[in-house]
Amino acid sequence: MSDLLYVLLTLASFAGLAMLAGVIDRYLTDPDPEPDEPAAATATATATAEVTR
Amino acid sequence: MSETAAAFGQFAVLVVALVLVVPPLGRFLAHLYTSEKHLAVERGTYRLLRLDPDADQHWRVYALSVLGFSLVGILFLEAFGRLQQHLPLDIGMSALPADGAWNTAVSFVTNTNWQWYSGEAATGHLFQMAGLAVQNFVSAAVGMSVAAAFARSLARSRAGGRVGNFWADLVRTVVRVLLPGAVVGALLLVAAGVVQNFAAPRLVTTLDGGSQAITGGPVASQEVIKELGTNGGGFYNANSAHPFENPTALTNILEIFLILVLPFAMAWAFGHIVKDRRQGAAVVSVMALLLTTSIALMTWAEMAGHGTAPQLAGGAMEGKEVRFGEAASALFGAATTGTSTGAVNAMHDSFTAAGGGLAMFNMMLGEVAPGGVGSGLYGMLMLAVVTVFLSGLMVGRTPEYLGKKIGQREMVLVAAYVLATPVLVLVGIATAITANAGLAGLQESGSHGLSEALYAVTSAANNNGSAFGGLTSGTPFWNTLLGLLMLFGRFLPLILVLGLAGRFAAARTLPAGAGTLPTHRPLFVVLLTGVAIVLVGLTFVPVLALGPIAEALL
Repeated sequence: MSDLLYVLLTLASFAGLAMLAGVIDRYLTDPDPEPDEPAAATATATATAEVTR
Repeated sequence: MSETAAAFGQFAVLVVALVLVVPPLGRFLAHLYTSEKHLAVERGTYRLLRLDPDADQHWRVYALSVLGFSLVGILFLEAFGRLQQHLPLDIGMSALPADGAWNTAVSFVTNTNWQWYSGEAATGHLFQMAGLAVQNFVSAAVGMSVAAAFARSLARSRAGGRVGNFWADLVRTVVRVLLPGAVVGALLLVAAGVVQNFAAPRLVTTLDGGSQAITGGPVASQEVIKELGTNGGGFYNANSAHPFENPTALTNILEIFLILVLPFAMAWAFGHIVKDRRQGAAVVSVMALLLTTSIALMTWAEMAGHGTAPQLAGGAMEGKEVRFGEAASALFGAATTGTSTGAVNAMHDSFTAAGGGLAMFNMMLGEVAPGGVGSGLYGMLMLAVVTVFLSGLMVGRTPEYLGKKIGQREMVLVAAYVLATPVLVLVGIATAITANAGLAGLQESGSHGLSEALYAVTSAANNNGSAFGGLTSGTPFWNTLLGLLMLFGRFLPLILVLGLAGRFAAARTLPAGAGTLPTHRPLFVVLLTGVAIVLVGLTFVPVLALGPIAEALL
């Protein structure tokens, strides 16, 4: 009985990990909702442009 | 020779040996992971297993291959442990209990090698050789393969998320690196006095008339891959403190060399794979800086003789082997916890509070100094991504690493990676100290008792496998808890690493511009070292304060 429980625990854990790989893959391949520019970089670039102007 | 001179001497010997071997071995590894040619024995293996070694796998397929291979390994090893009494060379050992067989299977497949049992009293020779030692080879090869895939992804441009072939990486690593290295290393160990035989336990009469069973076995062949693959599981319960595993100061320094050589060589190989050797040198520098600091602090902590007992005895020798002394024990302790090895030549429970705390801190850093074979490199590269991101934010530039833009999605994966192990450790310790079954395993109460439990969950979740001592872990509660921590501590970060590798492989490589942060200069080495300590290490300060720090101050 204990053996079966540990086998099931192992299978469930690996199934969860395999699903996580699928979730990450979908997350990475979805079209970008917004540019990958970090907020701080955008803000600094804008501020620099204003000072230059 | 004074102990201080011996401490500097053995460190110097180790550094010289690593400096001589790491660069050529790194070049060899880089060639191994980028070559398209297969050896005849490898082609035969692929044909036998019906594998296509030339298929360039998408990262998800690569990850599923890793998971599938590891799942089969766990189920096979668990069954092996349960049935060992029916197999040849069982030397009278009975079946492992269900929870213990599962814990052991997970432990060796995840390259952790946490051992709840005494090897000489629970496992037969066939289980050691065909079960545990085999996993010592292939689990190390899995880590190295994933690191190679990550390094290759940084060298690719618009490759559609393809990161290489797991089966080719795995087989090549075993055939061309680990097996030859293990044969040479085992012969050296045997020549230096490590035992290697198939003897059954021999009953001898002790000086006081008692009876003692002396267990021999294929020790050297398991000892070498235990170190070379940063596995750590000893043939004997006392691990490398046992004179049959580690009989002299010479074998001690050889074993430390074996622990460190492949993790450093993998980092060196990284520079060759991305075709900029300076990048590999920078990563090696950060690893060396962290490791040297750890060795220096741990050696000082053990040799300073803090406390009444060490002062009266002339040294903090409790739990240490006289043939090694404090310095060689500290050097081994720093090497084994700076990597994911977990072998011990002294009882870490008997280290000074500061020394034991440093061993824990090494593991909490994520074992990136220099880390496990493979896991050390990819752990450090994940921290390098964090470093360029933080640096980019500070100067207002779009962060990029080796021409790969670091955007929101990349950082989500990296953040999840950085958080995964600390969450496992902290949830694990919370579970352990709030459950009666968990508390029942502790030998001590108070700060030291917390340290015993904290060390165990940290060791498991970081896939180190070394034991602090003092904890009775061979119970269903501890076997299950630590087994889950080992399993998710290995594969959760690994999937995130491969996901990021796929993202990098799919992205275009941008040319370096005026705003690109150079990632090969000393400034980056300092920044990356700081990120490793502040971002990862400081996560654990509260719990360290309640354990080893409180014990050191009280």
